[in-house]
Amino acid sequence: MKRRGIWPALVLFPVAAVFVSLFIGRYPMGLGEVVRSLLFLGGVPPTSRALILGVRLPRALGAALVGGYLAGAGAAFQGIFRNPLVDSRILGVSAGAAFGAALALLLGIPWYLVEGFAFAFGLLAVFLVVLVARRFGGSVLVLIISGILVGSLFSAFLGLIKYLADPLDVLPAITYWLLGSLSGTRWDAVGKLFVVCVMGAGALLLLRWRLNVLSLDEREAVALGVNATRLRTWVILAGTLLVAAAVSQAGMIGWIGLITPHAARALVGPDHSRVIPASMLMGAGFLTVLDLLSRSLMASEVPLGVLTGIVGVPAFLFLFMRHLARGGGWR
Amino acid sequence: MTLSARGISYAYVPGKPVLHGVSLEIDAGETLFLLGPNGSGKTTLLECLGGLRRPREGHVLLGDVDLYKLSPRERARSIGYVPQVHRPVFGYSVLEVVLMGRTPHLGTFSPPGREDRRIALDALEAVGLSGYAGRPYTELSGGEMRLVLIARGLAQEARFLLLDEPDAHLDPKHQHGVLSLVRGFSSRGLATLVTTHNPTHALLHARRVALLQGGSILARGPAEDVLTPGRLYEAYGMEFVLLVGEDGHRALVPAQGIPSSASTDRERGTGSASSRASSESLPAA
Repeated sequence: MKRRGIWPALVLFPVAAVFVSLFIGRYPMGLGEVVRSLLFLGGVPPTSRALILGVRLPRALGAALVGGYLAGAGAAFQGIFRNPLVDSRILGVSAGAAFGAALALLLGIPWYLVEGFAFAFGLLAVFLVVLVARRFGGSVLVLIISGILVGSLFSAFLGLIKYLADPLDVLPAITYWLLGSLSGTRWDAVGKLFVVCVMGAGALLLLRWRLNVLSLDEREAVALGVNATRLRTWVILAGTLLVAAAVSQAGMIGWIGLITPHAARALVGPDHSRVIPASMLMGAGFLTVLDLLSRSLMASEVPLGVLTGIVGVPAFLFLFMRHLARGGGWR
Repeated sequence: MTLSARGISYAYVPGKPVLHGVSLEIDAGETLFLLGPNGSGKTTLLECLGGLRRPREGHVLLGDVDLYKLSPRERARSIGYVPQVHRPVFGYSVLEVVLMGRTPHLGTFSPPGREDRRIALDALEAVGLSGYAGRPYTELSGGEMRLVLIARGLAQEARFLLLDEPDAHLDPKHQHGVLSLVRGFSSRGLATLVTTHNPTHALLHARRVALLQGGSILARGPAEDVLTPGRLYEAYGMEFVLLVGEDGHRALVPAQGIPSSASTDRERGTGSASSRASSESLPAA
């Protein structure tokens, strides 16, 4: 379970996925063009160079960051809620963040406030979920049900916003963005994702060993000298920050945050000090590959959210059955 | 150093105190057993002493410092808590579970280091699970899990260890193994507070015993003074018989259904001791 040799492969996965993304598309690129562009050497047609460096590279990096954030946040949420069946979407965080971002779009608010709105409403959603779950005893199932409830509530609000939105420009923008897409990702967006979320990802990476203690019973965590409430709040803040940024950039992308941590645990074991970085790296690789598929499978783009659903549901079923076959419980 | 409760009270529901005015001291290196019927407040008292549940009235003192004025980290360096067995959601290895005992000694952002691993492995050895470090904790038997949690308590390197019914749900061999192990901790200078439902276990393993009833201390002192059939009748509302074996082994068993076995004891020549004990229970009845 603790093969050290796995780490180079885990690092290589997203790097290779991003690299491969540069070649593939409506205008296939050769090795020479890609490498020369990356090294800022001459001899590459300006259009090819612009396509590689100005379009494909930022998009692939954006996909890697969004995937890494969603998976990292998913692993952290699963840990602190002691529930291998949750991610930001099931907890309602994604719907809350999406509502916040859509509200900001509707009101025509500048970009940094879009993310702020997404963050604020994502936090509100997770707060409501925890509140409802506490009220009903807080088992694995209750948490999922309250997540679904709160998520539905925000989805309903989102419907209201769509109804109110101008059907000519704002509505298509909201709808397209909600389905999940990285097609508009340029360097400014990559920079934004990177800067905003280094804090969130950094916090999760720094706290990663403590997540083990938080994944125990609350009283045990306190008995081990952890200020559990405070630490859990920090983890929720960091995770929600990551999800809000991912949602504002790429819409509602499900499953990555739920499945990647399971795959990571299968490779590196359950210790969160390995699960968090492994999830981030694998999520980055997965979403880059999926985004590559979304823009190259068909002549027009397949929405990313659609694709993650098609891949994610069978993958989840597989994990679920394996979990049950090994005698895992859900209470 | 002493860990002491000074007149503490606690109520989950206002007006229905679970503990009222309880005072209890655990001295350095001693083994203190806490008995009492279900709902008498044992677990609540354990949690109050462990810094996990702040009493509504009174104080818990570690030495002469108010326990609830310490940070969780400072408190956890002095007091360890061994819960009843639980199953974590994630299949941590035994070593990973024991390493979590090092938490109060680590910075917020630091994972355990080599020295922490050594301490954790030593703790595993102390509970007799040397070869178990890499095994998934979730696949252990109940007795082994209990030992791992005790090892985690040892790795915490606290001066006081509070154990919530360490003998529950175990077969007799493991019950005895766990309690003998715990008793041995006093030679390391580690004081333990153990709750149990089995008075015979307390007779066997405790120097001092406290008996809780209805949220108050009914009696406390040396085990043989506290655990008399009379006191137990007061606490549990049922009759016990003290049986003494040829080698001085003593057991407290329910009086009902005893006559036949008591008579066999009498035939073996320990009759005087056991009849004296059961006669002691009669005035209360």
